[in-house]
Amino acid sequence: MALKLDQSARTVVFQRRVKSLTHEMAQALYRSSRSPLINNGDFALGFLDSRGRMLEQDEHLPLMAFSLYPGCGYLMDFFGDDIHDGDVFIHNDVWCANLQHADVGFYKPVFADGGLVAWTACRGHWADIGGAVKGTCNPEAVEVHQEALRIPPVKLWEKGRLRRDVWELIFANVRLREIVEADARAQLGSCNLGEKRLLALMESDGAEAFAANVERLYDMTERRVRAEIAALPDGEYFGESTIHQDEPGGPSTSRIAVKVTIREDAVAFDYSGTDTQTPTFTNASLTSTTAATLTTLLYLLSPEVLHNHGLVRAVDIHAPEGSILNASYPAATFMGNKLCQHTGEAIMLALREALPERITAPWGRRLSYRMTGRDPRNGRGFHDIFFLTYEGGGATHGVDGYNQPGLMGGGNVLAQDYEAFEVQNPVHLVEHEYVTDSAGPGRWRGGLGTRTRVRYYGEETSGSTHGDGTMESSPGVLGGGGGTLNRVEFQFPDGGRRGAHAMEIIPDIPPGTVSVHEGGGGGGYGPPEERDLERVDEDLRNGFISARAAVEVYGAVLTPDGSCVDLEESRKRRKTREQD
Amino acid sequence: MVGVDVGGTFIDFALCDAAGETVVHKVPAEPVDLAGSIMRGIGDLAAQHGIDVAAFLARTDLVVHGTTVATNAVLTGTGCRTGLLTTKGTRDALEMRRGIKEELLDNKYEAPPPLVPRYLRLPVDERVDWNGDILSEMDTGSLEEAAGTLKAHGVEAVAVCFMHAYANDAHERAVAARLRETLPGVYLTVSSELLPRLGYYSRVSTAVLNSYVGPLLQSYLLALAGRLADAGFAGQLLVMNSAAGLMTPDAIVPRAAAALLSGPAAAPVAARVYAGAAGASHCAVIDMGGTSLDISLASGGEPREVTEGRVGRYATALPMIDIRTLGSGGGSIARVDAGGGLQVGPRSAGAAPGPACYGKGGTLPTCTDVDLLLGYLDPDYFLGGRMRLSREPAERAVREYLAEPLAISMEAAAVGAFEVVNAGMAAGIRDMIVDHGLDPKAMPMVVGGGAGPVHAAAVAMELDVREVIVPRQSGVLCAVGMLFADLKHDLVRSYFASGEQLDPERWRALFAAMAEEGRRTLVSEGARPEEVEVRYSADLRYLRQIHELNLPVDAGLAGCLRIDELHARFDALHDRLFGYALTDEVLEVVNLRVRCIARRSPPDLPRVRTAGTAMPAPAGARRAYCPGKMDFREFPVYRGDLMGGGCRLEGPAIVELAQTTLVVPSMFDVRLDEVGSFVLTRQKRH
Repeated sequence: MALKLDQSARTVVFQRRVKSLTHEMAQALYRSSRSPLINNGDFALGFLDSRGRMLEQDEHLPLMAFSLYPGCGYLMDFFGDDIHDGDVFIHNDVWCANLQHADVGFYKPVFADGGLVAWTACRGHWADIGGAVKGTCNPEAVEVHQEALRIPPVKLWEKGRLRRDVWELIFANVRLREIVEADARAQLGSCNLGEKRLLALMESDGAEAFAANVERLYDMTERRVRAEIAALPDGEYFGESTIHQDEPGGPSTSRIAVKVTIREDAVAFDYSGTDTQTPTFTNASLTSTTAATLTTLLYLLSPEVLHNHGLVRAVDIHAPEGSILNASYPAATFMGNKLCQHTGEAIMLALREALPERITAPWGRRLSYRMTGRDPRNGRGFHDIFFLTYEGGGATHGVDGYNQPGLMGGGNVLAQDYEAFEVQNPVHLVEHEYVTDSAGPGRWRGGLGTRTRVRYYGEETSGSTHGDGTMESSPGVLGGGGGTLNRVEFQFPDGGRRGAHAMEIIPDIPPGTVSVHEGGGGGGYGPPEERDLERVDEDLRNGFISARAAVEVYGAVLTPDGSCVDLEESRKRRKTREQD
Repeated sequence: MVGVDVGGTFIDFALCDAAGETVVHKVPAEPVDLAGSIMRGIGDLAAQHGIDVAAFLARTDLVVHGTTVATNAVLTGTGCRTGLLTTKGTRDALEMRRGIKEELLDNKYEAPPPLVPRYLRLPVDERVDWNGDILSEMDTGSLEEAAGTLKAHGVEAVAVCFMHAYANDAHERAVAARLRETLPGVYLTVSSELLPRLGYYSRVSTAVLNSYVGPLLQSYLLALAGRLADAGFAGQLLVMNSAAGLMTPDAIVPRAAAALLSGPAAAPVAARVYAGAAGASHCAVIDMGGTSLDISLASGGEPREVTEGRVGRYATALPMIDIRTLGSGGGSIARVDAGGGLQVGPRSAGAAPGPACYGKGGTLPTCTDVDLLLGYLDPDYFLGGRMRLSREPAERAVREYLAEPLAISMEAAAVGAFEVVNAGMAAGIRDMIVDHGLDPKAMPMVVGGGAGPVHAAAVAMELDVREVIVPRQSGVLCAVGMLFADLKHDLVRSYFASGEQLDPERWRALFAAMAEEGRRTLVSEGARPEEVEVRYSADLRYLRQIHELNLPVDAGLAGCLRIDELHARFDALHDRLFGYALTDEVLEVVNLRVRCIARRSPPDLPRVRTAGTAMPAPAGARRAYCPGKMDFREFPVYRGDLMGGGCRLEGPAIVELAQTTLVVPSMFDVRLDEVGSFVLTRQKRH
């Protein structure tokens, strides 16, 4: 008699199979895309179930991956029973449950035995999506129409036929059309491949068994998540994070507030009390805030937790409409994803007493920089974004902050290789090093900040900064100190100097100019005088901290030549201080 | 000819004698005296031939060696005290690792410690441009200061890596000359000699790895060569490199980072030979041991390589076989997670306490325990009877940790764990094949390792692969692979130019210089000039693309550049891989590469002499789980050593071999091919 494979094993096997298919979809996309954005991993894709819920995803960019299911839910509500085999939907509008307008999604329903059984989806950052400026990033935007063409979910293919009218409507509004069209085809190809593979998977077991596996997978994940939440102390916890907008027109601040409620095996995040949306492009969509909340929660749970609808079921999220975390039409939102850092910070700070061993201190604020101009070596234009000046990560119990983390939910964009950077851009990289004393001190210190210095020899060069952290650095937690500020300075060949705001266009950068970009360090964790003296010694030898900091902040005593820590004398000194 | 593969716990030997006979042997490895352990194994081989060591070695013309000395130093952080000199302003590139973070949502994530601490990474004031122009001359004061600091700290090795040194190596060479005077005896790596190509992080990381392991490899090979010579060996000692090429100790010592996959790189070499004998030109090679599963691939008769790889968590840009490791082995622990999911691995019970059925105190259920309970392993004939397994502790472990929490029978729990571990392995194999742009279904599996043949057919079913090849020497796959490897040298030079800026003379001269260098090295290693095969290739991309593609270039095109032809060939490659080509886009050259190969005439795999032997009667029968059919049924058990050429049988069956057990489910046939491998084929009707 044939055995029936136990449900638990069957579900785990099912998940492995589906996960492997998303890997193949990602490879197909990666291989066939043409723009550096998608090619560098600025995409997310995966499967949704027959009700549009998160089934499995490939998370090159976690934040974007968690936007796949809200978009699918929205379009299913909108189209109702007008969804057919061979349809393909395209979508980018943030008020139809997207993260950001430049991230354009493709959704394809999968039909078997005459019924809708699942969706394949692929979202990728397009090199352009209309709007006032090429490349979508418009720091001067005050409403969505200066940023992007809005595409609420529409059918790009209908029952297997391309709607050429819709295709033309979209691409008539897109710059760099050839590149973007190629990416769109690559995204579609990846969805088609996912559909084909999913149908093959269903062939052996049937659609009914597939649906049953999906439900069991959610149940299993939900049980796991709820078991972990149940182990956390019940209560209501409050946290805040402040965004300092440093603009040439004058600074402003916005506050994010969160109440985290842990009750038995459920957790709720309520952002009531968060400030209203701003007239800048730093506003988050609700989908972006949801994604930021889920990725922050995942930092607090076991890395083994699977990412599917079962996770979502244990979590409740509320952000008031019209706030900076749930901006209403017609807000500009391009920089909204940057707020994930602050949303995450508010949650971590809320839980600092309840989960002291799980939370991280605030991460360094992101301040990025783009430059553009003409390359005298070949007469062609150049355009690049710095992925060099990363800010330090926040410290956590047991582990120093990571040096160079990038955005908390931002995925894994590699910093440029120095030599390739100089081949591609008319600049010399003068320095790219860690900054002494940049990390927030603590029992575990923050991640180090970096200093980047670049000398320009291009023509018609201009630059633009966007981000924050120039007015307030990342604070420490539980007795730890804060990291350093972000700083940008231009040193012109005539001897003049100027700083730059965190959101500013620097129009004329003559050849010979050097720009200095300092990324601040992450916040420290716990009192610095409790830091292991061996680690203080190591940091001192390596120049991560100065002799002064070793003595004054970490309470160490140095050897007579000042080059390292005298461990024994330091222990004595710390003991005496304690007794005082 | 003897192949010697040093692994973590055993040293494997494969001997090919004058009669074409292949003999394999295993001895335990003593980590403190590996050379001694090797000599002991050679003594055993001599004894098997009834002669003494001196006589045996006198008849041995070649010893091919795979060593883990370099690998272990990196994986355990026990390499040499190393210093690094960099261009001023770039000394932290090594530690920053371009910001890569392998685990995205883990806030306890820690980067691997840099192999050179910051206080030994010292700046030299100098600067070269992307074009090789000197922007600022070297400040000898900063060099002297740095050299003094390194000396004061007693470094054993130094790496030098300056910006754009691939375009102009004058400063690196000057530093090297000076360091040879001020730090005599210190192992030195100069980035422009080791890897003259663009990519500062790749180059600095590779150069540091090279210095970090160089002195260890040097003294180890010196000791081994000495021991062999003292014992009467007058033949040639060759070391396998990470790209499965052979090099003399003199050639590999200055390029020690090329030895980081010295042993494992031989697996796909052996596998392609066995797959070839069974009529396949592509294959996936899986080696499932006690703690992990290693996967590598061969296609078109060549092992698949990468030029940007990792050893442990450290980046190296010397060409190497792509080998991926999954945490699925015989010792992988099965458990039920907090959500009720039955999981296997990646945690392993290792060798101690080991699986519960070893009776050495292990209480947790492992993959091996499951294999025993499913009827695959004979408790009295495990490893050819060299170890006894106990059923009772395995049952207890599976019942307590799996069956009871899931409220299912012990048998159902064992079946579940078996299916879960197989699904995980299949997914890992599939992901890797897909990454190489190959079709998983078209890749027969060549299987090695103790636990591999138990799971292989089930994994093949999950992958929809029809053929599984289990070589008779599957337990010593890498040692056998060493007998089939060729002498090989890889050279690379960066040359950026695009479109009409491409200078045919420079193109030709760079290729010619590399070919000459490779040829000279091979000749110095004993190859005849006329037998050196030169392969040219170029890393190319369309203007502004991010990733380049490696395009093979024939000798004609390497000697005489015709841009239209190069463009057309690149278009064809791009179209095949990515589905489109940009025929009007400017083509950019990034690197030129040359591989020089001296083919050795490969030994003949011994043919099965007893062709046509009758199928032996089963030695017994066991009730075992039949994957695919999902039931327990009687499996006749055969002794593999009694099966000769021409033997074939239909599943279900179990074939006991000295090092492993081969499970043949119902839907498979098994036959012996002409070199004695067991070839499982999924029946067409299934």
